[in-house]
Amino acid sequence: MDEVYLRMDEAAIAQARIDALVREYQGKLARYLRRMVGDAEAALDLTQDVFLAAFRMLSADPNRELTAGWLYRAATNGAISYMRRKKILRMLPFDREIDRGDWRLDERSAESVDLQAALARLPSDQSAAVLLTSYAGYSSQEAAEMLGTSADAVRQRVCRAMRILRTILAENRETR
Amino acid sequence: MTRTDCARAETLAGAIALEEATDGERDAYRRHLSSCAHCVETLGGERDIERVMSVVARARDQESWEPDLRNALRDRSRGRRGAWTFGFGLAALAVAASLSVHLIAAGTMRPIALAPQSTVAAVDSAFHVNLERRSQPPAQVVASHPAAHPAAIAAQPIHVTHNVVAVAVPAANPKPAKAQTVRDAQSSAASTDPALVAALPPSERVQGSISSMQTQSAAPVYSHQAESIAVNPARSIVVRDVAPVGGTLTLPNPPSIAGREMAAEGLSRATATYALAVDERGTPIACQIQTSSGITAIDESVCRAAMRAKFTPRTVNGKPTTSIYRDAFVFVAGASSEP
Repeated sequence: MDEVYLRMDEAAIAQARIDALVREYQGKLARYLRRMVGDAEAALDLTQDVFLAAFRMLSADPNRELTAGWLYRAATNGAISYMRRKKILRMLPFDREIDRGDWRLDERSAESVDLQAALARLPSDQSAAVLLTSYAGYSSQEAAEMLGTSADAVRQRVCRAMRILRTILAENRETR
Repeated sequence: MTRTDCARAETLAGAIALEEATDGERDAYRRHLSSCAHCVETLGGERDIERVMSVVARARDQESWEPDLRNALRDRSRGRRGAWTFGFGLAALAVAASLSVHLIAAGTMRPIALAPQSTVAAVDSAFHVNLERRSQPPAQVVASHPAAHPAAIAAQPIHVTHNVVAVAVPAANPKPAKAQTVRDAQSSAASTDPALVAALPPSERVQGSISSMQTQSAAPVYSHQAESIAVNPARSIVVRDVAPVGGTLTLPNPPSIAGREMAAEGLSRATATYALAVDERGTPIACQIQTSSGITAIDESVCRAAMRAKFTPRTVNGKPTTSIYRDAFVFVAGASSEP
């Protein structure tokens, strides 16, 4: 692979590296972001933004190391600022429902709905903590590095998220 | 039981939830539960935690969404790169070509002069939306364009007037259209101000359709929405308070689709008016089609392009605030004519 790179110009190296990143992470990041913002279309836009930021960074320095952690961190920041903007939007007179999540039929299982209901009630940092760990598969230490906090803080956020999810499951058991 | 003990228990419960807890930590958690009814109630025992967390795992395992972003990304990354070079030429010109057109438009007076053809621009493979506040004579724009693709410029000159996208409509052979550019010459003042539209030279009169649409159907909506976000309702918000910063953007869902769809529908012109909520940083936060062009692909592409624009935020008492920007795009079939 490196030999091929030698004959490529810097832009081509950046392009090749970004292509590989996109292939590997596009699904993971998009699914993570869809859970974070609860809207597939917004998740796709945010995922694109992450890869464009990565692309710009690699264009400037094609040999720079770019980890999954960087991608998830950028994705998390993007999702948090998206949620902030959405909050402002609720105050504006827009009549169209903007967060219509088009979830696939085969994904509308009870678990999926329960998880999304819990995430909708959580502050973004807690959503990010639980999604980066049990959902995306990172350890609390790795998630802590992405979120710029400590592993214990991540564990505590996961616990708070778990508590909300537990409440929702209990509510559903009563109504079902 | 003190508060710090419960906070510690939360951390332990989190570790158990993530299956990271050591035996010692599990013991400590059990000891805490045995003396804290509150945590038993809200957090539950180890089995409870595992049961709740299995919901997350199952939700993850059931997901089948596999989006493919590669084409969209390629368009966007290419578009942005082209934008820098192209935008640079425009920026240099912008200093020479004064802001006068913009200012006159804002003053609801008749503009003294507007170039008959605002710009002639050709871009290589990507599709761009130019959100430009200034107007330049066509020759200068072409001259300023980096001569990286002289052949492309000669082969596909696309004539773009304010917010008007010329769409090549396929005849017998449905070959997609080439590069198109959209230019937003001034702020929204241009599209909301009938005086300006009336003053346009005939070659730009195609804009009239924006104006008439707004006065006929979109105007009531506009005034209602403007009032509801006004700080002082007596003084209605003028949309030109928020203005596009300028620059080039990729138009997703390229106009080649528009050309095919318009040919299929038998339309020679399609207008989509949109409203854009712009936050206090000048970033669009939502787009809404106010008057549909009748073609979903066009509506979507207009909104997606608009969402990528940057704006100078509206200020109230010197403080940037959120606002709504309204404008329209007109897609004209085969509208290109030689300058």
